[in-house]
Amino acid sequence: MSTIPLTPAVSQLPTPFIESTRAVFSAMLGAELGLTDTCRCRRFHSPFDVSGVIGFSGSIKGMLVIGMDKPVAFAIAEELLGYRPTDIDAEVFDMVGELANMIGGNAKERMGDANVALGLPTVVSGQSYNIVFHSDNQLYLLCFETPWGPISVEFGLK
Amino acid sequence: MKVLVVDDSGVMRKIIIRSLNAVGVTDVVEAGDGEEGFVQFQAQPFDLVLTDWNMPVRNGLEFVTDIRRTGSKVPIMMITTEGQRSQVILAIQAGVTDYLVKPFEKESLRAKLDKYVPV
Repeated sequence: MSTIPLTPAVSQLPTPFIESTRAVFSAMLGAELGLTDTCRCRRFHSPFDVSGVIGFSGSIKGMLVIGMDKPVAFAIAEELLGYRPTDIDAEVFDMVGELANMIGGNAKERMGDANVALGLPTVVSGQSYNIVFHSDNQLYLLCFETPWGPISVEFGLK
Repeated sequence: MKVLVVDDSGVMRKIIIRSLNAVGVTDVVEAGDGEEGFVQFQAQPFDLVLTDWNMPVRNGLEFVTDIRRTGSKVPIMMITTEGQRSQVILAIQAGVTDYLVKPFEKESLRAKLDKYVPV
């Protein structure tokens, strides 16, 4: 992935997404997340097994993608549901989509703009796919360490 | 006590049902959107309705409006990512009794449920 380090001038832009990701994991899973990296990037190429995607429309347009590997998804599912899936099934899809939904919704609230709407989440499985954001979007990558392994939250907004 | 849980996320329905079970409620009916939820609502009496807002087919706000149009006074709790004040006001105007913003801590949901679950 082609990346650009964050400069102080743009370092505040991801704040609602950092806070919303931490809030979702703290409230729903009792987990504190470490932010291991933030950067601007030119395109999104997922290295993860499963990704949840949710769109923003209205006065802020764009997309948010949360990505994680299977063992992380299974561990999170176990925390939420009380049992551990053995494959990326409909329930894991649903869970990753719901995480995207909650992170996007919470970030929307933190941005304080009532004229923003969220779509319904979509989930993608399999590695090495590209997601192409609108060329006008400012694209950011946030890398977190959860108690179960790494996840990423990528978003492109304009 | 019979509870209707309406959310397009099966995982979220399971999380909510786990909390209901933890406060002693086991008679739960699930629906995946507002249309399916309203079919269930008309088919049998409920003591409490828990619903999401953003759902396909028929959203939670439309579902709540449908219920109130029947004249029902059943308590309805909306559990949603829509946390802005303007949205909460819209929901209350539609007839929502209680409101919980996702993400929520298990304790917050249980505290809300305690208000409706008989001791």
